Amino acid sequence: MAFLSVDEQPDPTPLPTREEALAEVADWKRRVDALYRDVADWLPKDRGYDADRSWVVPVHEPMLRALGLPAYEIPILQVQRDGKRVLLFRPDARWVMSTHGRVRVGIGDRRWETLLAKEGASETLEWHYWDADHWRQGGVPWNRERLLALLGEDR
Amino acid sequence: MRHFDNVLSAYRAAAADLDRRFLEAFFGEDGAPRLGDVELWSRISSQAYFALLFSQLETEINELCGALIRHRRSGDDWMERRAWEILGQRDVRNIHFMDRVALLTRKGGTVYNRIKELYDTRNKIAHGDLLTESLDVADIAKDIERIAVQLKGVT
Repeated sequence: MAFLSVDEQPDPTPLPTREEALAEVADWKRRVDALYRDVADWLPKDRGYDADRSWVVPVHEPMLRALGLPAYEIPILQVQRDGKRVLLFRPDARWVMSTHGRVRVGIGDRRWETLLAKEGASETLEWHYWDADHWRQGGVPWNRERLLALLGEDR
Repeated sequence: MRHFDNVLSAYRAAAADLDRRFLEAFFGEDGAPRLGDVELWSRISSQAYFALLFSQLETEINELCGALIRHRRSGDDWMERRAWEILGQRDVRNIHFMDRVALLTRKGGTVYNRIKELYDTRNKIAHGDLLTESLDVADIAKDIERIAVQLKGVT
């Protein structure tokens, strides 16, 4: 394995203004809210599922720290079946290189995968689901079928 | 990129472990770390694994450059081989990294620019900075693997 050799110091990346960063946080919260609404709408009816977003977590991203801005709060979404958690959505960062945000998805007790917000063909932001089987192709579209597959409801 | 898949597997295991620790911290379980600590460990972990993956690309680029120079300096036509002979007089690692890249792909092209972006990020890490953006290691791994395939087509 090669060792790193340190070459020149790159130019500092320009930061957004505080106002731009706050607008990004507001937009991020709106997009996560829309994601949660989709998940709740896609859950099979009358099968004991429930979407609970009562947990709220503070997030203090490095970008906000660099700009001297405070942490923001954002809800975690738990999908429960008959009172037992089966999925958990945790938005962990708006500022992720080459993306427009990342949500970690807990599946059952042990498995964790990722949703990345990426620009689609029409330059609108789309959620892509990444796991060990799909990272090489750049993830797969996040949709109702993918959610049902995670819940084991696709069979 | 001999160790590429193993590095990525190790990252996935580490990331899932940190996700579990995040939940322990969120619930304030006995002996659990603080939320802020887990977020910091996640940032450091992703930057460390990114640097390891980038070193795999760097090794690949060194090998491809070395093969290209050996091939081009072995021709019969001195007019064609003279510049390659000069390049071949020194260890390929003594050629500036982005010049090595420019031997393999068009300077200013999409592949070149993406490598430059990753290289600048790697240099910031190597200089001891923590980035203002998070890194998604799987997303970057996908790009690094595609870059390596495209560069192989050059020689």
